[in-house]
Amino acid sequence: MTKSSDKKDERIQDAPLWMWGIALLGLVLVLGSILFMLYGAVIGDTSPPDIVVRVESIEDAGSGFLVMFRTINEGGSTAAGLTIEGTLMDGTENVETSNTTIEYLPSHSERKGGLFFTLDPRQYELELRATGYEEP
Amino acid sequence: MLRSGKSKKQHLHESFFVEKTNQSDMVNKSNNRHKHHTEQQTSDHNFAKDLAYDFGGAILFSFPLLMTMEMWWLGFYMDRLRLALFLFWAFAIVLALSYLEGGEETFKIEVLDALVACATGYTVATVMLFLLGIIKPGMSLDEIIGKIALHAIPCSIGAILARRQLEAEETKKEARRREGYHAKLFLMGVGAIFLAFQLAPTEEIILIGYMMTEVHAALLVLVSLCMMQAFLASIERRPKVPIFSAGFFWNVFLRYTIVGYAVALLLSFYVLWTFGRVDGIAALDIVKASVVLGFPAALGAATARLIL
Repeated sequence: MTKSSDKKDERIQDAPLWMWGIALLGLVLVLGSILFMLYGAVIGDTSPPDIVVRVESIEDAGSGFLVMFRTINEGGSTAAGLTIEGTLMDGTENVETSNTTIEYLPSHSERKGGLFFTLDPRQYELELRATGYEEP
Repeated sequence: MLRSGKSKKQHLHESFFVEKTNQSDMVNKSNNRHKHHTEQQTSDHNFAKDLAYDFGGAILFSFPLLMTMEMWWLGFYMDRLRLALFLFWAFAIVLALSYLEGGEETFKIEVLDALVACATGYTVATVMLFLLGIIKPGMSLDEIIGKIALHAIPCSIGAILARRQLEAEETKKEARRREGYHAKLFLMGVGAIFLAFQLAPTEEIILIGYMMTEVHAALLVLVSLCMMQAFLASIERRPKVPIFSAGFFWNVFLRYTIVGYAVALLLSFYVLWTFGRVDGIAALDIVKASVVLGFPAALGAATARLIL
């Protein structure tokens, strides 16, 4: 298409080998992604979200404390608007609750977040759990 | 012919009309216009330059979608079967555009161009998504491939359109291919799907549909049709045929406007369905959402031959 039009008899007959290499890469990528999606649609995991929340670290943060966590979705579906709740328990008594929302947690993926507390979580029993989500 | 300060679109537009009135004249002018190109050209076709154009086009056409958060999310949560189907149609569009944009090429080279455009599209999508921090460690393979594959669609279409956009030289054969009625309808469809694709991932399309009453929707259909008619009448204008005659009006309206709008509406619905935006929504709201998305799609369809 960069050929000038007055030379219309001169058709571009062939391309250098490296260009065909790139074309082959293109073919592999197009076919590969289509087949990957078909595989996901047919044999893919469609189980509901299975959420695991793990404490990464507990740090002092200004006037309070910050609990950094990592949440992993081991299920086959995406959880949207996933709410994570952290509670500090003193025996059976709930002394403080904090919560946050993870916008999207795709299947077999992880996201990180943090919860602020005014009491030191290291002095109490810290529980983190996912409380709910919606389907995207 | 090419005056400084004249926009690219005007330039394309003008060359289109000139080509209508006198094709050989247009070719001469086109040659003069690109004299510096032809003089620089060696006997070998410059494939490296084509590749550079592909990269330019891929970035130029795709960055609004690369920077749309709904697109990142759709990459992992949209229905896999619908994504596979969408990827297939996208490749078919790239292949057909390669044929329509291909001036003096053999069929083999047209297929090569399409595949190279796809390779460029996937590369640009991958690099940009990494660069913007949208793909990170800790994400599953499904999420990463989903995001790249979805973003590769506008990138690949951008890449194949690039050479025409960045180097507006239309050869006789290319002009002949683009002149056919079916080719024109196809280009209208590409314009429609491209603009619909830019907006369909956003929440706003459905939201606007909810906010509009049936009267609003009917008026929007009317405005979309008027807008298409105005653009298409100016594109289809022939010398010696008065542009404000009833015959010309109905000719354009029945042959292009109404058909183009039907294509735009159907493609709007298809894109909304692909992104799962119409799942579990009442039929009336689906129609309204399609009409809302049909507005940009109609604009894309009507102006497709100017911008594609």
